Amino acid sequence: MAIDESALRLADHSGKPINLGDVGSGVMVVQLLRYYG
Amino acid sequence: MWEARHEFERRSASLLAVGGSAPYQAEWLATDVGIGMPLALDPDQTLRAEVEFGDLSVRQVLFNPTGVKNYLRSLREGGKIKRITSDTVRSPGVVILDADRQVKWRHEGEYLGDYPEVSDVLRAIDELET
Repeated sequence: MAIDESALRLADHSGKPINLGDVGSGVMVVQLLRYYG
Repeated sequence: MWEARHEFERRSASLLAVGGSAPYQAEWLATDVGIGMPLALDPDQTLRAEVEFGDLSVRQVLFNPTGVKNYLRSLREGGKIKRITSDTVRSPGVVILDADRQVKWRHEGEYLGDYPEVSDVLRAIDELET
């Protein structure tokens, strides 16, 4: 199952878009955090 | 996982945390929790949808003993109860993507704070590369 990167709308805390390619190009470990509160 | 970042670097694996529906949550995660690793907000839960993570049930949020313990610990460590966001019922977890953005491994949590051991994630990466 490949993810569709064009469907992602990730951003930093200032609202600047983040692409997965900005983070890395190889294997990537993504931790999906669940905010307590 | 950030504490083990050198182990991930040794395996040429990047780390990314995705969480929070609001900027104050990202700030809390980055500063108070000090997760250290790159953090992205995903208010529309787009990545979660792509990796097919679901929501926790009310039973899993409120009545799982380990989840409740994790929640209380987060409060002791400075977490504050604020307005309810769409993050409230999201399942926690970890996915490993390869260079083609294929989901190669996943751990979807069944209660609050249910993340895999770092050793399990590292082992999963090693198995990808063999």
